[in-house]
Formats: sequence, structure tokens, C-alpha cells
Amino acid sequence: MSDSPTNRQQLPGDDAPYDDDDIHIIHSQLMREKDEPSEGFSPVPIVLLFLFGGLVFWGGVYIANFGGKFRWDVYDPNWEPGMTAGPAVKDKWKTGERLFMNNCKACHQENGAGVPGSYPPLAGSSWVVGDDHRIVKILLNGLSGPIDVEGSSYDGAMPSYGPSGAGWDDFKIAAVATWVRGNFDNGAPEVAEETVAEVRAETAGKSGAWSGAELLDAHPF
Amino acid sequence: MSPFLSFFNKIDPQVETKPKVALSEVDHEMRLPVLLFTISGILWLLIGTFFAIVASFKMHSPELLANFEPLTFGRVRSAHLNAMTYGWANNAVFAVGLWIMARLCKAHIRYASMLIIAGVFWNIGVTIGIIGILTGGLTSVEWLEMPPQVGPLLAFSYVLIGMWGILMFRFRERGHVYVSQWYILGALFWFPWLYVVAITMIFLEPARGTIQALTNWWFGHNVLGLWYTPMGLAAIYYLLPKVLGRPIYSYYLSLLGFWSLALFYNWAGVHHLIGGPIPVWLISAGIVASVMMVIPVVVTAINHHMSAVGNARAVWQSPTLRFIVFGAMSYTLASFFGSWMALRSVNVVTHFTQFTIGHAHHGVYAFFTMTMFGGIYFMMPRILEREWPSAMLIKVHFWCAAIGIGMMLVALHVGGWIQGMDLNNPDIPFFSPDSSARTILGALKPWLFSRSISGILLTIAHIAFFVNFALMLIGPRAVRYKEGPTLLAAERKGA
Amino acid sequence: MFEWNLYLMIIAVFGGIFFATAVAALWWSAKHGQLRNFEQGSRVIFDDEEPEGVHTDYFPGESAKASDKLREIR
Repeated sequence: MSDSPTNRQQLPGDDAPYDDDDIHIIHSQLMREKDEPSEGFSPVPIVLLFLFGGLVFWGGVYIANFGGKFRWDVYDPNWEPGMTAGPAVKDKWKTGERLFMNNCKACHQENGAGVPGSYPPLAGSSWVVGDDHRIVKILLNGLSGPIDVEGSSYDGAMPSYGPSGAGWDDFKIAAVATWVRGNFDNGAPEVAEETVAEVRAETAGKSGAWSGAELLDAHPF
Repeated sequence: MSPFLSFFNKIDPQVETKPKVALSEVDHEMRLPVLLFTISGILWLLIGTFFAIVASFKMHSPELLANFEPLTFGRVRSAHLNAMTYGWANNAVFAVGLWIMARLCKAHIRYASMLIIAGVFWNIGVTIGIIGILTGGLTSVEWLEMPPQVGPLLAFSYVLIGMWGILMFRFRERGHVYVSQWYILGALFWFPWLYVVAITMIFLEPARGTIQALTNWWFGHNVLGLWYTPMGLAAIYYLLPKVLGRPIYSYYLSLLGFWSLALFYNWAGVHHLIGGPIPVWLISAGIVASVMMVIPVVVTAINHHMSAVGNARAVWQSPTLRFIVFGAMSYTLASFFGSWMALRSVNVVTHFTQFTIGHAHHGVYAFFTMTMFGGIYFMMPRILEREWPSAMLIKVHFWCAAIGIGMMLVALHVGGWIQGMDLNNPDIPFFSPDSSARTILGALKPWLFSRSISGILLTIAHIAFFVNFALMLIGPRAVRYKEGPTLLAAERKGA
Repeated sequence: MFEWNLYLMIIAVFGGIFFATAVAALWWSAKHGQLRNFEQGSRVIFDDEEPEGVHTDYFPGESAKASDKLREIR
């Protein structure tokens, strides 16, 4: 047999009925016999060019609209130049609920009833209502040791959410205190951020958690 | 001309030199490395399948093996991902990709021992990594869960393989660079860049904050986009015209596809962080790049379709093409889905759901793995000079894999979409003690269950493949090639 | 902000090298005729052993067709 390309291109006789492979051979033969394109550029279907053009156009528009002008400090796709951050909407009630659900619910339970013998209730508790300095102090520094709540005694430790614990700011402390005092049919008035700031300044030197007796001395029911 | 460029320019492509090396000689010289990679790849495929089945069943029956620490969900899921990625997929890429590279270069194989050393170290590295994951040493970075200590070992093996590929290219006897070579060469450059940057910026010299997340998803997405995709496409561009015996429909389109892929894919990974705390222009650029991926995909799809159209019978008669055409069609579909999922309005539903998992399997299994199966079916008879022992097992493999992955994709896409809609609806709880209540978990469970069923089908497929391969490897001499394509070589020598 | 600048520099340098490589590869391919004669380029995968016009893959036991075809061509 020969390796020369011209021999390889020869077809089987025309008399035989063509099967699949024959057709392919003829097909490839035909393709081979096409003139070589002088510049070697087979045309791209025109529809494709329109599609690609459209895509590039869309991409440009998208970047222009949602690109945040390539600023490192823009995180919102709907940002517009000249848009200043409006006054932060701080909703004490919503924040308080979220904070409670994420931090307090595990012990004090969703309905605020606590767990008898282990975690004191918040619903209907005299510790919660009344003088708001008391609850703020508990939140800021925590509370440990024996206490009596509505006739049952508890001996546990409530962690600090203030400077020696979770480090919440005045707003967060005020928010969760407001929510606990206003929820569970407690009906106590809200706690102002200023109150928290005041208590925080007052107790700045306090280290460790409060004891029940200390708090009751300062803020009797 | 710069010395760097002259390195690649040994041959003037315009002068048709007659290659001195026959394909069968290339096949013969590549036998050892290809066998090493293929065998380890298939073993990893089985191991990864086992992990997949365990992880999948735990999704709807969490009590299964719950007390056996190494197979708890967190570990077995990562073990599955890493065994499939670094074990199966990379070994398959090394075998099929390097073999195609060698065939297209038409030169005698040099330094095959480099590949053997690299293959041994690579598989040792992956083994240590998987053991590390199962014993609890895994990192929290998706796609890089293996303990970072194995990184240098893998990087070393990889460098050997990459260097071999480039040396092979350097000493090629054929002037023209075929489109598959472009893809393979590109991938050989891209993967080490991805891997080394990711390892460095996440583990060795950790970057701060969200940069790590960006690096993570840039890496994770590009492993698929700039490593598996080009290797899969290289295999399709080589095998589709090869088996059909007619050239690709438009060679110009294929090169356009390569360069637009190279341009756009690198950006696309950021769409994994839509809604995340990174500057919005980065995310928008990622979204635009993801949508721009339509260009290479349309180009590739047209090219593949026009090459195969009218040859349905030939495709059906060839085990290779059954898998390859399935893979090529999946590539088109998966890529369109990917572009669509990158849009903010769609992503808000699909993010954090099984939809994304389905999409990952669409790309890595339905496209990439099926293509590699096809490549191995074409490659092994030529490497071993033996026929596949059983046509029946090939058919079982194809049908179980095709039906299995089809079922999995439907289950995860539909289930994931429902899950996403439910997650965005605050009225539907995640879980409720009341079993009659409409919950996210309850709605998802049947889909997760069908995923496990599809996993069983895939397991059957993989076992059929393994058995067929093992018989081919160790079978009696009687099954040696008596006829068929590789005989062409024998005929030529005898004539 | 030392750390940031360092990263920025490293990324810029490597990114530059990477980009330059890509441009060089494209330039090289254009310069050396890789983008010419597409029709011919698409045929480099065929040779005497696996020539154009012959299906080269069948299920085991059916590949005699390919051999026959090849003999006819030769």
C-alpha cells in the first residue's frame, strides 16, 4: 500500500450502494476539494455577531447601572452617585426582638417563662419592670448568685453583655431591655439609650457580675 | 524575536513536514503513565462514589452512621468532593489530556519518568489529604478542604506534569497548534496559578477578611472553568472529529471559543458572593463575565452540533461518542444555566440551595466526567492494544450514568428551586414538630431521596466501568485486539 | 496598611506577567500562521493510521467495519 495522500483520497467504486461510511468519505472528499480560503477566515454567522454585540452592550449597561462607579465603599447595587446614607433607621423594637431571639431565648425561652429551677422567668418578673436601671445593670455586667424571682429561688449566672462580656453598645442594650420590658405582658415603658449611657458611666469601675442583694439595695421593687 | 517566544517556535507551521512518528508509537510510549493515571483515577472514582452515597443518604436519613466519627456528614461530604476533584477528575485529566497532547505533538515521548514520579506523588498527596479530612484535619475552605500541609506535595507533582506538557509541546513535530493543544496548554498554565495563589492567600500568608472569600470562590469556580472545562473541551474537539472521521465544522469558531473563554471565565467566580460584603462593582463585573460566557458556549455548541449533525448513527455506534456527545450537550446546557443563575434576581432564589449543588454536578459530572469516560473508552484500546471485553458493560455504564445523572439533575434543580422559594418566604418554617405542617425540610426531603436513588444508579455505572476496565487489564490474551482501529497500525507495519 | 499594599503589589506583578503571557501567546499565534489556513489546521488530527473519512470507534466486536473501510480506501 502507499502512504501518498493522493492514493488515500480515492473512493470505492460508484456502483456499490453507499452506506454511512461511504457517504462520509465522499463528504470529506468534497470538503477537501473546496478552495482554500485565501485569508483563512471562515465567516461567523451574522446572527452570532448580533448576539455578541447585544451581549457586550448589555454588559456595559449593567456595569454602568450596578457597578457602584467602581468605588470600594459601595456595597449596594442600587447605589446612585450623590446618594448619602440616610439617617440610620434604628428600630429598637425590631433590634430588641432579634437580639433576644439570638441571645436570650435559649435560657429564658421564647415565651419568657424561663425554666423552673434553672433560669428565672422574664414574663411578669418584678426584676424586669419598675426601675429601668436594674435591668440595664444586669445586662451590662451580668448577675450571679442566689436570687428570688416571684417566689422561686434560682442560683445561676447571667453573662455580661456590656464591656466585660459581649460588648454591646448603648443602643443594643436599650433595645433588648425595651423589648423584654414591653413584651410578655410586662407593659413597662421603654428604656432610653441615654439611660444606658448614664448607667454605663455610673458603673464604669464595677468589675464582675452583680449579686441579687446589691441590686435590690440600689433599686428596690 | 524574544527567546521566550522562540521557545515555542521550533517549527514553522506553514511548511508541512511529514511527521516521523506514528500515532501507535505515541500510544505505545505513553502506556505506562497513562495506565498509572487511569487506574488511580478509576479507583478514586469508586472511593468518591462511596463517600457520595454515604453523604447523600445522610441528607434524608441523618441517623445513618451518625456515631461513626470519620463518616459524619461534615467530613464525608468534603471527602467526596476532594476524592472526586483531586483523585478522579485530576487523574483523568492527566491521563486523557496528556495523551491527547502527546498525540497532537506527534513526537517521541521524552521524560516519561517525570510523569510516573508526578503520578505517584500526586496520589500519595491525595491519599494523605483524604485521610486528613476523615480524621478531622479538614480546613473550612470549600474545594481546599485537604489539610494545607499536602499543598506543597500536590504543587510539586503538578509542576512536574505541567513542565512535561510544556516540554512535549516544545519538542512537537507538528507545526500547527490544534485547538485542543491550545486548551490543554492554557489549562496547564492556569491550574498551577490558581492553586498556588489560593493556597498562599488563604493558608500560607492569609489575606485579610473578605479577600479570602474572594480568593476561595475565584479558585473554586476556576478549577471548573479554567481547568476541567478546557481539558474536557480539548477532549471533545479532538475525539468528536476523530471518531467521525471528518474535521470540525468551523475551526475558526473553535479558536474564537478558546480565546473568549480565556478572557471571560476568570472573572466569573465572584457570582458566588452575590449579596456578600465585597464592593458591588466586583460582583457586577463577575455577573457580566458570567453572562458573557454565553459567547464561548454558543460558539462551542454550534461547532459541536454542526460537526455531529447527520451522524446520529455513527454517534450511537461508538461508545466514545455516546459519552462525548452527552458531555458536549451537557456543557452547553450547564453553561447557560450558570449564566442565568448569576443574575441577581435568579441568584436570590438559588443561592444556598440544592440548586447550586445540582449545577455543580451538571458541570463536573454530566459534562466533564462523561467526556472523560468517552476519552478513556477511546484511549484504552489503543494504549493496551486490546478490545474492551464487554459491549454489554459499556451499555450498562452509559445508561446507568445517563439516567442517573439526569435524575439527579432534575431532583436537585426542582427541589433546589422549591427550597429557594421557601427560604425566601418567612411564613414557611424550616422545621416543625407537627409533621403535617408545610416546612422547608419536609418539601425538600423527597427530592433528596430521589438524589440518593440516582446515586445508586451512578454507583452501578461506575462498578460496570471498573469491572470492564479490570477485565481488560488482567483478562486473558484472547481478548486482545483481533480487529479494529488499532489494527490499522499493525496492518500498516505488515503491509 | 502595609499588608494591603504588599498584596496589591504581588497581585499586580503576577497579574501583569500573566496578562503579558496571554497577549504574547496570541501575538505569537497570529505571527506564526496559527490563525491562517483554518481548513487545513482542522485536519492535522488525521493521519495514515486513523485517516479522514473512517469512523474509528465502535463497540467491541463491531469494529471490523472500520478495518474493511480502511482496506477499501487503501
